[in-house]
Amino acid sequence: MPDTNIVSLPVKEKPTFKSKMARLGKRIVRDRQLLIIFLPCLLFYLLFRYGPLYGLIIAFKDYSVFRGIVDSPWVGFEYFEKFFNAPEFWQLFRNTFLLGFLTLVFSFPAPILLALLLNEVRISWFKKGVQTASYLPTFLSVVIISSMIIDFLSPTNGIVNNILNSLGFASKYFLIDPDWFRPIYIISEIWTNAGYESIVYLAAIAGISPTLYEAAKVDGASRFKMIFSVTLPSILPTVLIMLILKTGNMITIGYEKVLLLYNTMTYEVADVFSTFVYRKGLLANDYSYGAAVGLFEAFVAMALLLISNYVSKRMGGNGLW
Amino acid sequence: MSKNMTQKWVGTLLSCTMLVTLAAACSSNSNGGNNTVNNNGTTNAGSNAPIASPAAPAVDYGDTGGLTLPLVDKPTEITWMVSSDFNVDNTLVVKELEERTGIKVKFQTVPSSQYKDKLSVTLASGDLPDIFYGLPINDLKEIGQEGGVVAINDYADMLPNFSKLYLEENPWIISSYGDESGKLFSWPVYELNRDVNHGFMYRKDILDANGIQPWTDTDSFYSVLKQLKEIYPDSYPYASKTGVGVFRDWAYGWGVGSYEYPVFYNEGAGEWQLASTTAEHKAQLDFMKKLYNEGLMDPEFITDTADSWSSKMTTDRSFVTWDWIGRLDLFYGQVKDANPSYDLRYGLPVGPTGNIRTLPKVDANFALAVANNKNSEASLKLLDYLTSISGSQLISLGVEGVNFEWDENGKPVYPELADRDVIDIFALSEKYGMWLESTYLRPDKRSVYFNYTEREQEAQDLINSEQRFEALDPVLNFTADEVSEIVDIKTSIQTAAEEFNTKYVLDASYGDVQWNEWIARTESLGVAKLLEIYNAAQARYDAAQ
Amino acid sequence: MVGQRKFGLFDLFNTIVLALVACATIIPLIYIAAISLSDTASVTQGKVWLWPKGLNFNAYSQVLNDIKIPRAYLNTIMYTALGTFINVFMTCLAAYPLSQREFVGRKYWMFLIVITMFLNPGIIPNYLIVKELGMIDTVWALVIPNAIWTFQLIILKSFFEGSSSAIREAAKVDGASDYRILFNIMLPLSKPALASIALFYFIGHWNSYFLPMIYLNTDTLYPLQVVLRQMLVFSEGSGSSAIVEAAALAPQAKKNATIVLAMIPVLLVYPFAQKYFAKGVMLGSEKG
Repeated sequence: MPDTNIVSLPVKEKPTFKSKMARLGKRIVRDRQLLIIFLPCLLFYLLFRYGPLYGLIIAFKDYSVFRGIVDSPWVGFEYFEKFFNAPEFWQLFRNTFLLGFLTLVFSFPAPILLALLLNEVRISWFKKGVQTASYLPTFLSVVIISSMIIDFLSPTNGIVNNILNSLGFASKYFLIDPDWFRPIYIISEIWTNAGYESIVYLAAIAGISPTLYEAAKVDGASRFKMIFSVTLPSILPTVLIMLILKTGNMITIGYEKVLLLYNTMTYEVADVFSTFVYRKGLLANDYSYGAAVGLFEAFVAMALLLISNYVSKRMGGNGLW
Repeated sequence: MSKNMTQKWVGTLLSCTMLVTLAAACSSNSNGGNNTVNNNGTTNAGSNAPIASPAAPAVDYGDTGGLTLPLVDKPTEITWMVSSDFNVDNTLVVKELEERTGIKVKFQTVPSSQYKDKLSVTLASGDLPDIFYGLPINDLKEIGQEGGVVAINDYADMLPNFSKLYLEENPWIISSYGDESGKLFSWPVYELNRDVNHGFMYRKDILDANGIQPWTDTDSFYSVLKQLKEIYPDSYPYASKTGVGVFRDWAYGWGVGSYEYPVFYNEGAGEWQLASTTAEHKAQLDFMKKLYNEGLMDPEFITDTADSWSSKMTTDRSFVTWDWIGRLDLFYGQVKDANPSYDLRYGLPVGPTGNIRTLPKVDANFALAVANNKNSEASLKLLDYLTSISGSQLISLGVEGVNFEWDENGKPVYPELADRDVIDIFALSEKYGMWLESTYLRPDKRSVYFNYTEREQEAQDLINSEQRFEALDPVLNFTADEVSEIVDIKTSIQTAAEEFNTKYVLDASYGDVQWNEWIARTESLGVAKLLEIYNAAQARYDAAQ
Repeated sequence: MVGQRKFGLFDLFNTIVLALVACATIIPLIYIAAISLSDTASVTQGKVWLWPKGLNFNAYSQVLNDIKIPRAYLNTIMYTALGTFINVFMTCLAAYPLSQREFVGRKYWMFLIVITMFLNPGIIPNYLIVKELGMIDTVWALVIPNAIWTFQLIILKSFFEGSSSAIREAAKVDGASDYRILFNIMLPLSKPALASIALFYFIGHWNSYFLPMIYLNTDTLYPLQVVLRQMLVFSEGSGSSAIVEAAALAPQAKKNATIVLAMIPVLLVYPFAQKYFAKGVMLGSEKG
């Protein structure tokens, strides 16, 4: 039939293996300089990040330090089963997930806010001073920070209760109240990390071209508005990357801080995977068990990362790749 | 900022790096030689002057318990991994040991805070030191069964001191610390512990000032606290820094204490039971609850930090506590400038038994082991020498006339350390290499370690005069499978017990109903299985006696 | 071009909030410093708050007089300088190719790199590899195995991406090699990013204590943090019956002195790095 009006589209040829390889070859040649530059990094990751990964098989073996990783016998998923069947498993899962999620939600905006505010400061010494002060807590060890928190919150003579008393409220024993564990943990995380993490955002803001601000001013934007129309959108890529990375890290909660801040009265909300493994380790060294839990956490973390990366790209933002 | 600046910056950094790299290379070269771990015991014939070894020693080194010195035919080097914050390479002890035994001991000193991790990586990398300690006993047994470390009792015929002290006089250690086939892989330590190391203590100056007699039993303990509260209404007379450990520490007074807490051996019933569900434990909890409710016990006892507790105990906000015995003098030393009349003294045990825990005379939990290699025999003989009177005196006293003299009380005095404020085992260890952890296999009782201060001596006398000691529970020996099962169940039960104990004391509404619920809960957590394992091990222990 | 903006309500609010932030972070440190300068009795009794009581420098003199300290300081400075340089260098080399959208295999590289952030096989396998390479007990064990932190790599890469790839196109048209583009164009443009990752690496090296303890055996190689911690354990003593004299220091004073001593050098570095975060020209002000 005559279909002269229809333009026949070129039939797409299915790419053959050969043509794919040829294309790849071309790209390699084109990017050869980049590849050479990239080589040291590649070697590094191979040797120092992928090399040790064989150690993960500890989770599937009955590992003894003496016999070594290779010679310890295989036990398959035995340790994983033990872990999933532990009576505490669901409580631990809920606690770990909630603590991680809430920490992310509340502590993520803090460094961004701090960077935005710092950026608006005119007086150089004040800006430098506050910046320096804000990241000092990262130099304190977890032990010291926890000690301070416990002292501040003491029901008999802690600062917080002293202030409450002077305002007419009764003293409250915060540390044993399960409802207060998460807020205390989260606030201390913000205090410790906000300044340190704001450095990244400050660097991002420093890279914003001034002409954007000029243009906005010409349009009559107030300073406040400029933050929303210029600064924030410009640092959005950085924000998204950090968000994706932190979402991935959400459930890998270290044991030290929780261990120091929790107590028997708050176990039911505070006990997380890592503290559980730690307590087990006190009775007997069980590397395999710890490795199994670690692998499980890693798996969940990777899943979270993949999901958040995908969501970010779907919503039009950038992703990690 | 221009290209020039960047280039200059990069240039400076590069030159710094080169300098730094050079420095690093130099330092690593000069250290390269010293740190190969000699697990094959290569002799350092080049660096040591050969010792005139085969001849009999001209000097009398004291009672070696039957060993002939020197211990080896040719110069031997042995590596011994210890936790220490100083380097002890050229100290008196190392030199003396070499002279007497022919063995040059290379102590691989590791900072104490990282000892466990360092040991793990060292073992994992295949470099077993000739002598080492610190592994959990069950891990050590596994290694022994695979031939990584030697079974000490296999070599008993060349170890006279070991044979006499342990095989003859204390044969129970084989059934307690050895494996199922009766092989012992860890070298025991003899009589390291003092009689009294922890207990209740009180402010004698405060009690005296108010005409209060120190307590003699549980009821009078309560009454003392009550009187203190009346006089000092803003205080909480009893304070604690051990957090959840308070339940375990007090347990001996109620007869349910044990190093396996919350499991304990009930001598009367002849079986292992769970302390946390016994009537005695409930009585202990009820007593604590009473103290708490009447404001006699610090309400934040479960979270108090050491610093905060110190501050309470030294500012008249608390007067009674439970702690390590050294605190009696430590607090005094710290606050005497501000309060010269501060006087913390040891008090009698609290609880119906009126007893404290017994500290074992012989302890192999150090897990001191000898690697199975060319140097095994030499290492074993060295350990045997350190178990002899002669060797142990070297480690715990020194060399008479060389670094110490006897004073008129028969105690050693160290003239070279006269300018130090504190002459304790750390000072001796730093200066002379004495008292290194795990080398003191049979400390001499005259050593400074056993120097009691007046307060400490008072404590020892108080308890010893009436032999107020709870019987020591048998040390049980578990198979690897049993250990694995125990860990699972015990962790759950222990956590649940801690939670329950705390809630019972802190929550006024907790009473008999909750107690019965708790007992039911332990059953669902597997307590029956746990006790079954313990009692089976006990049966094996009894049979072996 | 534009004159000074007037100090408005927003600025007031801003200043107050930031001042509070600074207080919240500085006050605990003043507390720590005050204790380190106070006498034993007051510290034990908990009477020290923000001002030293019984001012004395005993804690500092005890710490600083230890012969291990100068060497340890030197070691830390060396490790940190060398380590940070290697870190930044390697991270740049890694981030630049990854930042080019058309880089062959980019997605795969990124994926493989990112998942290493979550897979941690523990200290033993890492130790074995470092040992095989003969780096145990040398400075290299401290600066090579951690040469690139994936986190920083991702940050730097995203900064490089922000710099327009049009720049690279233009430079290529001019015949520039990628090496030149990286070193002569990208790096100068990315000062804030470089400064921020350099700072993170710097802090990481300065504070590090666990890895040096594991990888180093010779005590003359120990960095500051390790030596300081050794001192604390020792001074807390345990087990032996000590003959206690007036010079017995409250452990908190000594511990806090070590914290302050470890922090001071870093406090001096930061303002130096900060100038790289300063924006070139901010609307409404002139920057020095």
